[in-house]
Amino acid sequence: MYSKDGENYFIVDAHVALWDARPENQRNIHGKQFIDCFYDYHRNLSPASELWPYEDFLYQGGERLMKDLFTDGYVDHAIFQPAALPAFYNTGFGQTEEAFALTQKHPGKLTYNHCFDPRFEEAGLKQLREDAARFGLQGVKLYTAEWKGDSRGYKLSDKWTYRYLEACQELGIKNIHIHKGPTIRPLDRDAFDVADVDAAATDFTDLNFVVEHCGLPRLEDFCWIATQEPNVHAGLAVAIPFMHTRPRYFAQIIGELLYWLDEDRIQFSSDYALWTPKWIVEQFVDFQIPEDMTSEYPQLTVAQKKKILGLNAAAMYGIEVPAGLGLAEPAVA
Amino acid sequence: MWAAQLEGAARAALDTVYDPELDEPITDLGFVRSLTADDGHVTVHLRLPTSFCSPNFAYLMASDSKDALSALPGAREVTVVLDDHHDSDLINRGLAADAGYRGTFGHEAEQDLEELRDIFRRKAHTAAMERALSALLRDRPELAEEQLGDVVLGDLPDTAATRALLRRRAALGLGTDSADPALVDDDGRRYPAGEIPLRLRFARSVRISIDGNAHFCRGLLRTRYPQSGADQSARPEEFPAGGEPVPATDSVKAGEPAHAGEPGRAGEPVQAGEPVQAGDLFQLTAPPKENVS
Repeated sequence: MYSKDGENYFIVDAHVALWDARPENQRNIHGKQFIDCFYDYHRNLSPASELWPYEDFLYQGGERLMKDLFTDGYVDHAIFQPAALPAFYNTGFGQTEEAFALTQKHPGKLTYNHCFDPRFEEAGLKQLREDAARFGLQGVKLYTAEWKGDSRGYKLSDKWTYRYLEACQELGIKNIHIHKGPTIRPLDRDAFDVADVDAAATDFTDLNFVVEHCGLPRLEDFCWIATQEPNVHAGLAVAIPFMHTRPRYFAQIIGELLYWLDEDRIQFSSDYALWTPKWIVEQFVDFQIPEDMTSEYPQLTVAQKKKILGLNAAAMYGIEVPAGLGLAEPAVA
Repeated sequence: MWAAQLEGAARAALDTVYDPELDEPITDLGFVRSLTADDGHVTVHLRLPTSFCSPNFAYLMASDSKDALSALPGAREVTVVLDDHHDSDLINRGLAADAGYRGTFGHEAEQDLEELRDIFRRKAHTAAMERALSALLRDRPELAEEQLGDVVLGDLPDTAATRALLRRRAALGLGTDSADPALVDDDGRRYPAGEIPLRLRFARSVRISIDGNAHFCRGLLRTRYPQSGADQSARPEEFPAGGEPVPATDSVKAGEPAHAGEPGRAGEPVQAGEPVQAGDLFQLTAPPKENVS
């Protein structure tokens, strides 16, 4: 919980990871390139006081994660959204066993979402059923630019992805988090295009589709489909740290999201360990649309900030909000 | 040709190579890491903001560079090398062998990258149209958004924003006659009057997205290659109220506040009046699906 100016905010960090990118876990040069890319994101968008040494960034471990999120970071509940990346890392990038053990050790604090790759076809479907039972899955994280053999990406609209989404319906996995990446087959197309999310959201209306990075670098395409598909949501991973270095750009992002979607379909996430939640929560609660931009974008309200920082994700995941931390009266959507 | 002359010609040739996604020359973005010209041998190294920039765009910029340099009269041998990318080996082999897109990417390539180029030509036009028309709305407060449908190219002042729009229209094969309507869809057609405020609103989202990406990519390049800031020019697409490019301000270092160079600081379009409702979208006759395909 975070408190400021007499207001209390229930915080759900909807996208965190427990990764291991240390050299001994890197399968090849791409393992190093991938974490170096993340580290440059971290260096480019973090306040100077929050910069980590490279060695700290490679691996955090459960104890540090608990401290950064819950002791220091005001987070009440966090959701693991692992990327597997078996082509880059020996034991994968997201550490499944370690993260799940942490989830069990701290009941009520953490939710473990797992991932699937539809290119495993029947064998992967069987695995998904086992994973759903073992982890009690409510959600999955899909990285569509995942490399597998000679394939370097897939779409949500592929036949096998649809089979997996049908299984999700059956298994009660209702929250599908999508992270777009640079590769897809064929390479003729724009890999960041979200048209496949549009197709899946239309055909699976009882599933929620949370597009991470709110579609960045294709914010406009994302906004266009999210306006038309009520089950499409925006995750603020990567977008929200812009608040520090580029507050006017962030004002435009959040202003566009609130215009094209609505305040009930936007979720805060730090994308830990890319960034830590403490400074992001503090700055977001203080954030104001710059005065000279308020003719374009209405000022953010306290109720909107409470929804974005936690109440929206809590509603999606059935996380209990303690008395007094909800909204006094439901905001009119 | 003298080495210095050839080098100058090579640099000018690279000025014509654009990052299609950011709609800017690769030279202005700082993507040219080094250029040498010696006895007819031209060698260029390219660098990108991350190892994981899209390989299709990376290939386009590298192969466009090789094409532009190979067309120079004094260039007998051209070598283009993409540094530090996850597909560097693949792309550099393809470039050296002049293997083309399909020859480079093999089974991952289906046809060509022309549709990809077209998508971003359309986005670049939409953003340029929004910049020019929002500037016009600022200059002529009596003009209502709905009236933009009657504005023709000849009504636009001779500014950098207008000239940029004309270039984007020409690239897309749209008319550039002074009697041609200024607010048009990707095929040059006018919008029904009732749709105009919303179409302008969507165009603004396109412009924000491209400008935002350009700033992030430039910043990431400086984080990755600290010396690259000196090679970057100010993004020319950000126009103050007068319609001319803002002076170079994009020289901040990673980790520092970047207020001076961020989008919007120097002349953000300010729209007055009631906001258009996103729900009105569903009344549109022809959603611009090409923007999401």
